[in-house]
Amino acid sequence: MRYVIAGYTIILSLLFLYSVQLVWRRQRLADGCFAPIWVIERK
Amino acid sequence: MWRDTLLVAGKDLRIEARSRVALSQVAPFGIVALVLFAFALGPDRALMATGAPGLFWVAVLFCTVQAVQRSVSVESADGARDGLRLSGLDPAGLFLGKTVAVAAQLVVLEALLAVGVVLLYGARIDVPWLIVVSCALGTVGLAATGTLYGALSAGLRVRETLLPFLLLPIVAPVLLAGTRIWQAAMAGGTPADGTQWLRLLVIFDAVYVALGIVVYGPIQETA
Amino acid sequence: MNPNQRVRSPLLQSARARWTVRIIGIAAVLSTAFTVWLGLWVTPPDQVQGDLVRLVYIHPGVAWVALYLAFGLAAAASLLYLWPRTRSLFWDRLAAAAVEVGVVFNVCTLISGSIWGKPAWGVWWAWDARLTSTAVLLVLFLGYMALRRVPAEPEVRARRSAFLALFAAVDIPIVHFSVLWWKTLHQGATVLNPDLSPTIHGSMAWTLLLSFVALTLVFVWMLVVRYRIGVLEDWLGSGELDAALRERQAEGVAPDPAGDGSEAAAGAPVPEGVR
Repeated sequence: MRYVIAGYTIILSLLFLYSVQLVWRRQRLADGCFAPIWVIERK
Repeated sequence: MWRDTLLVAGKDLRIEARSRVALSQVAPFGIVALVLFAFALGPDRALMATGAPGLFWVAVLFCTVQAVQRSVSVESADGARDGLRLSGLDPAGLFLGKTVAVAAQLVVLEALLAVGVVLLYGARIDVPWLIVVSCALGTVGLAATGTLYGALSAGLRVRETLLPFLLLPIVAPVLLAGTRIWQAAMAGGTPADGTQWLRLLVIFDAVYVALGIVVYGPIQETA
Repeated sequence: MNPNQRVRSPLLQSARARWTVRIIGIAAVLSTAFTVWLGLWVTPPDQVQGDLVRLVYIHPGVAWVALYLAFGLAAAASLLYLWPRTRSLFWDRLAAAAVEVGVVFNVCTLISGSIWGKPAWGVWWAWDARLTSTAVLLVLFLGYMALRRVPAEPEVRARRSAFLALFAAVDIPIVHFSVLWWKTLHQGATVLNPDLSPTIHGSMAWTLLLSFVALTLVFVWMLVVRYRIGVLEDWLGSGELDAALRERQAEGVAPDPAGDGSEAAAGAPVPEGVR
């Protein structure tokens, strides 16, 4: 059962974190930061 | 198309004959890889003999990447790529020509590596024709996909790091099939298994050569 | 922010579009939560695998999304981009979004499969057909993303990526069938397998179906948001915003007397409704 809980937690966390990242990126772009996130520039 | 094929193949092979890069750099690299594998696997001869097919094909893959890089880079100087495009050469012929050239170099390298594997790892080959056919078919597949991916990444400055990363997963079936066929052809293997995998190689080759003929022209326009 | 600096974005999303996305997102969260509740508490344990079977409400679902939905969509979109009649950067951006989301789901597939495999088979990993093909697919997806990072004109990048997707799409069946000829540890198709259906308890079957629906909704929401991000990145990065700003300023609005109108432009005012 440990494995089941671990599995659910990890997968759901991954999906959640990725969703948060998406929303954050969209927000960042809407605020006018042009660069894709892997280009290191002034934010 | 065939005339252009011969033209381009001849050009690439002549360049190779004059610069001898494959012979003087790629071949020793292959041998070095074999030696390093031996260090990695330790002194157990039986283990090395068992692993010989796989190690051979991995070494071949490394050499393929080198050969393809070379094939692409001969055209990156002096706007040679644009020159080729403007020359009116049939793109399919260009693709086939480069593939033939790479394949020719690979065949020589494979012969060298095969000898190395037999000598260094004590591999014993029972069914030589399987070995030869598998190498021939595998080479065609490797050369075709290599040329395709070379074209895709031709103009990029990051080509050196990107090309291996893109190419190697695609040729995984060749590695699989080649290894299995070699295992079947070694002492203690069943040759019947090998022929099944030959079919896979044929399909792989047919698909990627056909794809290359159709798609090489449009790819050139993006580079 | 100086209201004279506001620019009408051609990327304006209608209120209806924004609400649709929001609703999809909410539906995704709700259905996922419902699935988790059903999966962890309501459904019974399996006769053979015990509680471990509860992972069936996660693993096949993410696998379906990653391997078929995401990758299939990416491949189809790439083909549509390459086909002259339907060429449009929409397909290219859709493919890119599908690939990125597909990578996430692919990683989830491998992790959930691995977590299931350890207690079930005793190993974290095995080189059988399914696992190997999935791993190769992940590497191919990553290669696609790497290729897209190379700076280029959108059309050039789109073409290059589309060709790569095409090559990968051709390769995946070959990889799959070639690895299939190895001994297979992974079980065969569950839902489509006639032998298994009598042993799937009613509530388990429904929860399984719900899990597919839920994860598909999650995928769709992520896809849409990621697509939007792609559009924004391309548009803002291509200088069209600067051009639009200049046009707006040239419309005869009194320039800021302190002469820091250019500063404000560099600060990038938000186009209306762009989000």
